[in-house]
Amino acid sequence: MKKTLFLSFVLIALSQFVSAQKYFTKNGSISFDATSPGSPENITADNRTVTCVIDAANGNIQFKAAMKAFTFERALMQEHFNENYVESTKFPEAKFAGNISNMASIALDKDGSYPATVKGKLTLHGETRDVETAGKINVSKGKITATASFSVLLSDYKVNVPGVVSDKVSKTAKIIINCGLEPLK
Amino acid sequence: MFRSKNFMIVLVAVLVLGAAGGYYAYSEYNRRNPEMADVKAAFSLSNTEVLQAFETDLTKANQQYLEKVLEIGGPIKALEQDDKGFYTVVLGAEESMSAVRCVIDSLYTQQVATLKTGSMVRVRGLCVQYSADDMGLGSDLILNRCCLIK
Repeated sequence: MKKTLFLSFVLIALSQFVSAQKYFTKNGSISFDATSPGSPENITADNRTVTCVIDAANGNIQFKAAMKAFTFERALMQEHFNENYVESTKFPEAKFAGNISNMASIALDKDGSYPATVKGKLTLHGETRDVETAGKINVSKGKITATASFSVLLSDYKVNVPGVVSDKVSKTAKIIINCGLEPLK
Repeated sequence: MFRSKNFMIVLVAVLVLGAAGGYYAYSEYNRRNPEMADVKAAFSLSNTEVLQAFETDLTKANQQYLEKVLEIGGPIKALEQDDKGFYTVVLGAEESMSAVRCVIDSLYTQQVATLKTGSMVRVRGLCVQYSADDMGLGSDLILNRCCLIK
């Protein structure tokens, strides 16, 4: 009886430990800037619906963002983005699945600023491409924040920019991701 | 004289049409997303009703609710604030991983800060995505640019 109780306790403690190795958010932010150098206006948008999960045990990282949740300053720009550029009804989510290759050197239970090398596959507009970027994980008083920025070539994801606005919209978009993570219970 | 009069009429018509077209293009170009407080909701439901609709028939619910302004009532499961101070009001049961996630327009930040977890609230926002549970975190319905309904 005592042995069973002890085993149960160990199993429960172990399951808590294992589940605590994952960290997540559902309100991460992602923004992009596709402003052409000579453009008189900013082609920027923000999205605060990013779901992100990091598995501290193996460094696996996933995130997804609802394309229709990108908010632009101008409604017309937002409509063109959804209808003509990323076709967000047909391709409603952008997804990334990859790995933090130096996860072993990142201590999520210890305050510090840790560089993170992230490699994986980004799916956008129905196209999947390899992406590699240097991100950062900050741990401060138990609060974990993951940030990364990288650029994507719009043509890689078959996002076609009409000639009439080609002087305003850059051929590349700079993407910035910021996620405050919590332990998954 | 007659020709000159006709010419003037055509010229005025062209100028009026040009000005109207220019005004339309200018106002359309500068158009902002409407504030949800000024928009009438297409549907008014509870958090459980709308989640049930998506879980039962995703295609039908997408057709009915996506890109529509919804007014959702329910208990506050969580009030999440990101590092820039923006709030997301999460409507749902404490024990469920699935919820209606309402991304709050920054105009309502101060109002949301006074809310308490567990209290009932009504939120109006644009339904942008039903996010299926493909990461083991539950399914969520996402409403964007939300305002609180008193």
